[in-house]
Amino acid sequence: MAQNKTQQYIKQLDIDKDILSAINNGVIVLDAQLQIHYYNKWMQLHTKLKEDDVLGKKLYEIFPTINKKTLKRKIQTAFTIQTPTFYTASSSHYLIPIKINQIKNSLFEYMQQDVSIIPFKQDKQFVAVIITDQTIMANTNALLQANIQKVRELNEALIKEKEITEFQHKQLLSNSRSAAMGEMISMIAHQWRQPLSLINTVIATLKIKKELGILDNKIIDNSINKIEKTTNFLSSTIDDFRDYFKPNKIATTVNISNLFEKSLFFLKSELKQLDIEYDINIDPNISIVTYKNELLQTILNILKNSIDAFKEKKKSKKKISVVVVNNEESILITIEDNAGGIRTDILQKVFEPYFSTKSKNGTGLGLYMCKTIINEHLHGNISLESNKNGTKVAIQLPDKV
Amino acid sequence: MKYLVTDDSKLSRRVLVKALLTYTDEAHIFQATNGLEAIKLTLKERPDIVFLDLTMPEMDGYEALPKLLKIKSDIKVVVISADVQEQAKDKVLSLGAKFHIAKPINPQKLKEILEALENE
Amino acid sequence: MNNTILSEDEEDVLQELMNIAYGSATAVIAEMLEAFASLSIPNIQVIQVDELLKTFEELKSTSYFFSSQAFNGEFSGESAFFINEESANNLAKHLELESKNDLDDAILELTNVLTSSLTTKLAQELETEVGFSLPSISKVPLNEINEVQTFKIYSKVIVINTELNFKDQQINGKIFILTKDESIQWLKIKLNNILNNLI
Repeated sequence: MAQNKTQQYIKQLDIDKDILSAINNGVIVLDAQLQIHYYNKWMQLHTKLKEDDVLGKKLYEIFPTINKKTLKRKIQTAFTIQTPTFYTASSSHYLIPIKINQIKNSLFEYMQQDVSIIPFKQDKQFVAVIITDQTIMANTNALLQANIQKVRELNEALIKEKEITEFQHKQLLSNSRSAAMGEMISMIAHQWRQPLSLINTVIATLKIKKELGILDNKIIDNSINKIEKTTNFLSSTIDDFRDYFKPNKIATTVNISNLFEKSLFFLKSELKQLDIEYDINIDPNISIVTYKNELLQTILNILKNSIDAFKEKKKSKKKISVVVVNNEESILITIEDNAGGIRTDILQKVFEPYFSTKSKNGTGLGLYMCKTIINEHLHGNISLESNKNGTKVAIQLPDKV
Repeated sequence: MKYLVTDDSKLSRRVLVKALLTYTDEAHIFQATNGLEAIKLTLKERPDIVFLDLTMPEMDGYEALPKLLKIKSDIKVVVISADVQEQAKDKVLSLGAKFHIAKPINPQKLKEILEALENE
Repeated sequence: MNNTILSEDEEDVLQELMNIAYGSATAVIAEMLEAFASLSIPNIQVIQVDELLKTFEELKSTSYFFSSQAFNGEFSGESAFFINEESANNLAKHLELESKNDLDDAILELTNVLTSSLTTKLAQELETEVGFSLPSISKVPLNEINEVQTFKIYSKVIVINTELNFKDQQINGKIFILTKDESIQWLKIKLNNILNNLI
């Protein structure tokens, strides 16, 4: 019986031993002083040391990189709490320095190890140190971390870029609003020159007649009437301008012929002053559903560009002509001048913000804003052609925005 | 002999009271749930042996211990605590406790201590 | 529906067992750190994991080291240990650590010791055995705590919330023990056994 038991025990020991040498983990048995009492096959193969080289020696004598203090503390703690203590690959990397002989994919020079220090229950003398190769895991983690970092950085850059673009766009919009205001004031000034001088003349006449003593009630009434009519005209101009420079909230049916008639109202004094022929040739039946004031602003802007171009060039027969063609589901407006054109090398830049060909008073925002309004609000297209003779702007708009 | 059991845990008190019932009857066992109650009961009932927990709300054992001894200098205080740090043991003994017992209470240990206190 | 939630008596027993387990865990750490901890009363709650995440959000510091360790057996679950950056730095100073890796290692060791001794002692009182996995650590900015995957697998948890408080060293942390429904059921039976034996 007793012999049987012993045999069984020995058999059991052999199994344990076989498993310990076959297992794909490093196993070392140490005492509290870090003296080596067992060193399994895996350890021997990976460290290229034979059992005889290490048994009885201190672990830190063989591997001087080991922090003696930390290891002793972990072993002591394992004894105290009677459960394992650990080193993890993620924070400690490795305990036993083993050079990696696979070059493939490895970011690490040494094998990354999870280490469990397991106290033997019977007495507080020995611990089993179990080493697990975690290099592949660590490698994958490191790559993942690097990629996460990269993605995060790219994302941040993108967000920043977007913020800048949005900010610039807002800035441009507000700048172009002040530019449009400036245009409006200059148009009002042109419109007012004549009626103001009329009022001036009436007043001067009144003064002279009073000095001469020939001022009667009829003349006074007449003059008051004239002044009243003129000031009414002045204030109606302001209302008109204000109406047309307010953005529309809803799209309405807009008659294109009427719209160009209206543009004439804003520009006629300037056209007359510069002696420019304005030839509008539009079928009075063409109407589209769109944002009226936005379209008018765009057209005024383009016409104003032509007028300004004429100011810089002396020419005998100045002419701006407008043609509107009705296609299916869209219309094509062509505005053409003979003011000498734009140089070909700068032609492609005219729709960029802050670009101006004008020698003075150009904000460089006019055509940029036209393009923004046509594309984004009116869902149409704008293009520009130019030759030595003049410039042609084509606007294509849907019949319903 | 009068006993005072001081612990915020109902369970701990129940266990200790049950163990004490081997030595005395219910009329001689008083219960407090914190240091402050222990002081009040000590003033009123003048117990001979006080069992005192350390971590309790309102007033903990460290604070109550010297106050109890001031009220009745021959009172025998036995600290029963889960705090098994060496420093904690040293501290309560230096404050005048007779014994420090680790929780959970072992009836054999309790018996030994009660005998030791009686022989004093 | 409510059968996984603890009764007042069961909670009382668990509270006392935790007290004992925590006391012994603290003693081990106190020895390891050569310091003296002031013990506080553990707070035991059975709550939904969402509420737990809310609790984490209420922690004030901006950056926490978070480490966790799973334990297995009849009583299984995971323990989570939070230590804020300031405390971690004080721990590093106290242990005279030199590198960030050493600090990570020390926090893991602290977690392991705390969890192992806490859970082992608890298991011992509950007359069962538990095994432990390797602990893991991550540094979590508080606003990302919702993304801590480990909590998501627990729907309902017993939260044993207690402070580790070394006043002189200014090291404190919070420990949570998270267990799932099956373990809560098992625990209930055990707690009732203890309760019946005692009274």
